[in-house]
Amino acid sequence: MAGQVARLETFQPEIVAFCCENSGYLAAQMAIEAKLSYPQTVTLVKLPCSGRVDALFLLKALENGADGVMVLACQKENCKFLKGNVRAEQRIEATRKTLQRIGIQPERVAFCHLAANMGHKFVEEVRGLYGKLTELGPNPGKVRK
Amino acid sequence: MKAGSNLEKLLRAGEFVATGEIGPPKSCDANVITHAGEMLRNHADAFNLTDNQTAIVRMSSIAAGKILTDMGIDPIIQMTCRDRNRIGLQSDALGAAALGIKNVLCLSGDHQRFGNHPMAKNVWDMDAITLIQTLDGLRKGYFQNGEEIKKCEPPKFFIGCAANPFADPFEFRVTRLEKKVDAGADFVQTQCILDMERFERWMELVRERGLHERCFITAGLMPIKSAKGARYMQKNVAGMMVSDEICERLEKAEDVKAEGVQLVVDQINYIRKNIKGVAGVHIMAVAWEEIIPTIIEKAGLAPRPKVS
Amino acid sequence: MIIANGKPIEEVLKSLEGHKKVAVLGCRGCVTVCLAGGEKEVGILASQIRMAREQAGQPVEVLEGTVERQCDYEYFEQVKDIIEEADAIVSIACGVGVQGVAETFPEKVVYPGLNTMFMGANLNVGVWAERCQGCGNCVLEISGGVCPVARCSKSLMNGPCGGSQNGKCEISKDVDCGWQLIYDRLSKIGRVDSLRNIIPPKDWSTSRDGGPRKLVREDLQLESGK
Ligand code: SF4
Ligand code: SF4
Repeated sequence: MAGQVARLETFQPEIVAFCCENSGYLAAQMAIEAKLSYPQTVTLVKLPCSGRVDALFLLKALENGADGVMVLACQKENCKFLKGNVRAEQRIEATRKTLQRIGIQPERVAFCHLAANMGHKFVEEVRGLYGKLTELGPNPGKVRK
Repeated sequence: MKAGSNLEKLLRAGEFVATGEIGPPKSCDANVITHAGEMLRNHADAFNLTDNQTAIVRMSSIAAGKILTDMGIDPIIQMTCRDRNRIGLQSDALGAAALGIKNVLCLSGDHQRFGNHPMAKNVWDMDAITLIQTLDGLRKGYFQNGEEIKKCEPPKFFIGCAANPFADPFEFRVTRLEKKVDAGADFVQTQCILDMERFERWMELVRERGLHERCFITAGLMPIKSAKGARYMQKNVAGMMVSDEICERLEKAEDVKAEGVQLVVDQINYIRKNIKGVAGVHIMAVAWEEIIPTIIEKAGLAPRPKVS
Repeated sequence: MIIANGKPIEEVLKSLEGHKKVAVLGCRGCVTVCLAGGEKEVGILASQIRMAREQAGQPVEVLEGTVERQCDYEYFEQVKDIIEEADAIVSIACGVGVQGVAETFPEKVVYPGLNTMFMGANLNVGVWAERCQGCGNCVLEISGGVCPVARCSKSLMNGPCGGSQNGKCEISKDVDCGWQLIYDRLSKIGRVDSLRNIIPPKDWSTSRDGGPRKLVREDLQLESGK
């Protein structure tokens, strides 16, 4: 028990957040400017649209050391490219399924809709995933550690 | 006379025929056939033996036909193109003829998807129409490849086919029958009629093309035991049409079985009285074979005529 | 084009049990277009294999490669190194490509990563449907450009059968009756009367039924060719 607590204390989940440059990325910038605190182990990846995200990106991030990944997309009906956020969500669903089939918890993949001015929501989402990953422990499938 | 079966003789003598149907068992129990034969003997003129109907494995229709032949009952063996190619079909047809079987009903066959071996490979090397043509060729002394049958009289067949007035496209349904008659079909059994109006319209087209004079048309009828069953067929069975009138009649009935029988009896009377060009009825009492004598009796078709 | 679909990952993992170094090999032909076996899918499958094995405590090294076409064997030259290095190959080309790997590298173990399904068309994003069975003796000229072999559930030559209703085939309300389509096409081009003729049994000897097929075009053969 003590060992487990110690492990939980030292484990800091690595997160790769794929952010649409029209929403998620701006929200992250806002959080930074407003000096809202969020876990330091988050790597932001800027995408021209959440629709650019692909199963390949998510899997590669997880394989190469991430404990969890997230996709931050524009609000529903608000994608600059009309359906990018819908497609992103479909692909995330598919990725969760393939992860489940190889024995990796699908909750390691998070998805949310937000707007450019929602710095607080960005922080909330990141903390949410961070908390979940802390409970789940390290990604058992990561190949590069 | 093509083969001289009881069925053919009666039809050629101008009798209004009645045929029935016996489903071979899902086993090798010959008693099922002999029992049905004894029960139904003299209540109809000939009996269809289905060929792995709805793609469920059953005793071979030819074997079952042989059992009836031995009992002095006239079998109509069904042959579908689902399970045999032109080699198997011709071989089995010759075998059937050697066993004294005379009536063969040619069908395309149901797809195996709804049967009990849906993983099977299917054949359909030929279809119902080309199977008719092939059997017609055999009785003229030729195999499908054009080779002659030597050192023996050609086999004799009275060739039957199915027609479905209730499938689509409607206008094509008569053309399809015409193709079957061109191919050599001698008699026809229709899909069971549960929508008399559509059948009448179809018969009109049949008469326009004179097909009733080129082959014997027997009307398929099915006694229904349950109102639910009728509604189910109305909605879910491909190639069937059930009129609301029939469903309602069964739904309102106090004794549904009795009403089901009466319905068929009324249909027989109606057809005989009003529809020209129908040479008889074919009663498909699926899993209710024992009702056939009652229907025949009530419809005034008993006793069945004898020919020598 | 040839349409294929990924095998369940469990099946792929099962074949790879015990292998330590595996190459996943894609193809830039049909399977790239139908999003089943191109460079991207190679990456995805490779990641899945690595992660699955990692979390199962049996790490595996996975090499990735994609060639122009696995049905033209000369392209294997480009990935020779990784194939030789690996102790098993998962080809995510169609069945032709998988066999191409086997023929080109006779001493290598090769597994199929896809189920090759049919020759078909892309009807919508993510939707493909069968159109041709490669019967070797095309009859589209008599059927109004709709194939009875591939599109009738029974490959009937004289349809529609008695199971056709409301344009659908007896096997499912989701399957169009091929012969209804033929009927409609022939009606549109004013040739529906041709359905009055009996079409004789098809010559299946040009199809798979005649044994494995091979095409040799003398006009194209090189003296040095195989
Ligand atoms: S007839 Fe034969 S070659 Fe032509 S489309 Fe159909 S299967 Fe293909
Ligand atoms: S319903 Fe149409 S597609 Fe289906 S088997 Fe019959 S003719 Fe072929």
